[in-house]
Amino acid sequence: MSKPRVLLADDHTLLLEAFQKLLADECEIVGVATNGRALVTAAATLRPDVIVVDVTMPLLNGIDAARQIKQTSPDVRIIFLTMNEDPNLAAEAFRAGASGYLLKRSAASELVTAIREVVKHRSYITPLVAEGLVGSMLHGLEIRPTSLTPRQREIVQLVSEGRSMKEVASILNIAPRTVAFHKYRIMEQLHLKTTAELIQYAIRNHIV
Amino acid sequence: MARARIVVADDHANMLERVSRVLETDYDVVAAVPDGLTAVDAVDRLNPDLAIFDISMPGLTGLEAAMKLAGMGRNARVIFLTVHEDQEFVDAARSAGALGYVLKRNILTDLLPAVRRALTGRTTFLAPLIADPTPAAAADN
Repeated sequence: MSKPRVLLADDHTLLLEAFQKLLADECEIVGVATNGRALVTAAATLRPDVIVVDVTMPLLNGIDAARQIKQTSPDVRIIFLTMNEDPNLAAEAFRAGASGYLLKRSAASELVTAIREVVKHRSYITPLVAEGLVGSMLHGLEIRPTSLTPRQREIVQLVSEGRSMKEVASILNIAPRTVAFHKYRIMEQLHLKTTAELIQYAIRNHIV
Repeated sequence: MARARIVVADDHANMLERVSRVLETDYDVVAAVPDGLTAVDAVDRLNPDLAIFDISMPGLTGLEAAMKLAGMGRNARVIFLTVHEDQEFVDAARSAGALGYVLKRNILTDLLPAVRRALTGRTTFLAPLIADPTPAAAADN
């Protein structure tokens, strides 16, 4: 059986290189990306079998990137990596279409197994998080209504990264006043009074 | 009680020697190797209690060596001993499952405590997070 074609995404280039070497025997690494927007483009161009993606990435986080990718490529298997042990984050990842979920501190030992499992259309979740996730399920998952549209989430992330309206507009290819409109609309919707509160919202909801 | 067995890897021979000297009063340095690939082999063969890796090495870096060992299912305890102070390196070290991160400039104060803790499975990241690289900044505060 041929090696799975894998696309890697992480904003830490050190880790990217290390993962490439780790996976070299088992997989064909078709490309790498260091931010979520580049990942979405690369996924569409390279059509990998598996995407291994860090949840936290600049410009567009891994989970939102995965949602976009899943719309055009529903069959791609996505494995998330994160340092965050919050089971709610794991739940969100699976809601976004994850096939696998690993913590970075055990990624080296579990990544090959995870890839093998998802390639067979099975799921893989690191035992380190599974327990917390099961606990959440038994006690009722924290229902966090995604009341923001994908575009709104993009704007929240970019603004929270400290980018000017002009910069955000340029990245998203829209007019600066459209960015302003979205931003104030979002803040109104979420009852946030300052940009600082917006950033706090972004952090709490794993957008940055 | 038997002394703990340690493998050390660094591409600079004098650093290797220096580290060995710091360790040898209390520990047995069973291998001192110059690159990542030999380090993986040494840890695999000798099954030490602890491995101390430099990060920047030719062939496989210390990070890649540690991850390779993890990928092989070898639950090797690893401490990184490095000049790198960037958060990116520290994060990468955590991802590689490191039990410790010690800066070379603090070797005399930080290495042995990190080794002692690592041998009991406790993590010690004595790195940029705590170290104050600019004494002037501290004086201003």
